[in-house]
Amino acid sequence: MRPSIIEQLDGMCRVLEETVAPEVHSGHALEILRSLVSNVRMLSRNWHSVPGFLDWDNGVTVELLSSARPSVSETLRNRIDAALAGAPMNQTDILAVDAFNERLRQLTTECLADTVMPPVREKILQHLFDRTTRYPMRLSGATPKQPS
Amino acid sequence: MPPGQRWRWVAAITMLADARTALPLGKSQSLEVADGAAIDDQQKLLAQKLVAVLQSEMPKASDVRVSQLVRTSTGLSRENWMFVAEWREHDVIQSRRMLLRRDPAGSLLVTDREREFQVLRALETTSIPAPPVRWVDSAGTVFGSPSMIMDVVEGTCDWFVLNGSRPLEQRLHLAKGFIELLARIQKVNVPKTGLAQTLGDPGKNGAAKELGQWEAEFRRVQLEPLPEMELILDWLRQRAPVSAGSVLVHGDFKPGNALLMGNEITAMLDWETAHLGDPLEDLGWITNPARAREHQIRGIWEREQIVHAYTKATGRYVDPRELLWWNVFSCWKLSVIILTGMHAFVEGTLNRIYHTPVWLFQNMFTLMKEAT
Repeated sequence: MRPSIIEQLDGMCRVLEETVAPEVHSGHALEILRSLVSNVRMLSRNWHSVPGFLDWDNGVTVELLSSARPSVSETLRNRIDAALAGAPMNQTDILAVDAFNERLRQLTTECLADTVMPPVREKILQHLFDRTTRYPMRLSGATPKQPS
Repeated sequence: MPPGQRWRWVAAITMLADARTALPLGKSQSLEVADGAAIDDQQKLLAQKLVAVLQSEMPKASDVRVSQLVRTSTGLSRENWMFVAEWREHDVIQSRRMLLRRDPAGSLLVTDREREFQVLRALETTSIPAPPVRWVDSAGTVFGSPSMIMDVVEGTCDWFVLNGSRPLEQRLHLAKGFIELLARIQKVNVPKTGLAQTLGDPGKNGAAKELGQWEAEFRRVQLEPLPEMELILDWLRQRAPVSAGSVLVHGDFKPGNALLMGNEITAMLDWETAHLGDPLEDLGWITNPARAREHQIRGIWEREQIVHAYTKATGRYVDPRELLWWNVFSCWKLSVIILTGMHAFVEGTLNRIYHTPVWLFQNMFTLMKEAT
């Protein structure tokens, strides 16, 4: 499948930088253009990590919610059961996997506010920390680099 | 048009240019716009409005002109438009570089121009270097959204000046200068300036009040479940310190909000989040590990040296546990600001892309571990 997604995204950056940017004479617009190109480059580098990341995050979170289940309120327990029963069958359906991730993270929030047992709570905290180190969509550099 | 060629547009305005402004333009007023780019109608209109406002606010002025109008790329939360205003008063030609600070459709911060204007006006009665303000359009009647006009203070802004190319001696001098300026801000006589009426004094509840305000903003802009933010919020709530007193807090004290001339700070900018609050709040922002590159010089000007300089300048004891709370709060607040940017981008009112600030989550988790 050519041009590949990476080739398309990198190519867009090249066109924006080589063809569009020289014609942009407003410093403000140029700064915005640069930040958009940086974001497209980040997408080019990281987009392919997103399915794996969600798969890993969902897997660990399902385990954690299952561990938390016995110690939380009945209402929350029922909601956990319902969510786990609704896990997407097709793991290549990225939109469904992403929506499932959001449901799991909402339940994680509620577990932390509920009466989840300390050992499970510690495991959730550790997972949230691990998640920050593996999160694929990250872009720094929103601050101007040059003195102005 | 070749790159670098400046495109100029000059127009004499002879009548009411825009019915929405309801500000008539005199026969001898004119405007020039120079942006280094083609000028669009919106920009022409803005220049016309500036001329109209200047004339309206300075009835003794004639031959009012606005030139070199350009939107700067600095300032991530407001639209900043620089221009040169010229007018004749008592047969003398006056010229000032001014700045229009206007609320954009979407921003990283939702703040009040009237409030910022009042803070800057109050600071004019003090020795704190800040830009003199001229007019405020609180309701956005003239400029379409809340705006204010201020004089431009000479100087350059360099976010990372403390780790830039200057000799270490100069960088250290500036670093100490920033802390001394912070101490001077905290010594502003609040009752005398009237800032308590403008800003409201939380007394000993500065931490709880700030946390409550930023939580409300978090709830407003949250796009997805964020257990990290909830967890840290809970941690902050349970440990919110009781303030030793109440001082003027800048709210975003950093080199990126300062103007420099040589080795001196000529102005502190961006007072939009200024408030009365805990003396350690700005210090927590400065010593926040997530912003070390802006505020610290590795091995020479770190937390220990900054706290020492602050204590020396203010006479205040700094409780390490309280400062750590303010460090975590600073990261949490910055996370909310970034989430505000994400929200505005997704709703189509901001043209910069922001992502979930997981790097700040990491910092906060690490700080919270240190606290236990």
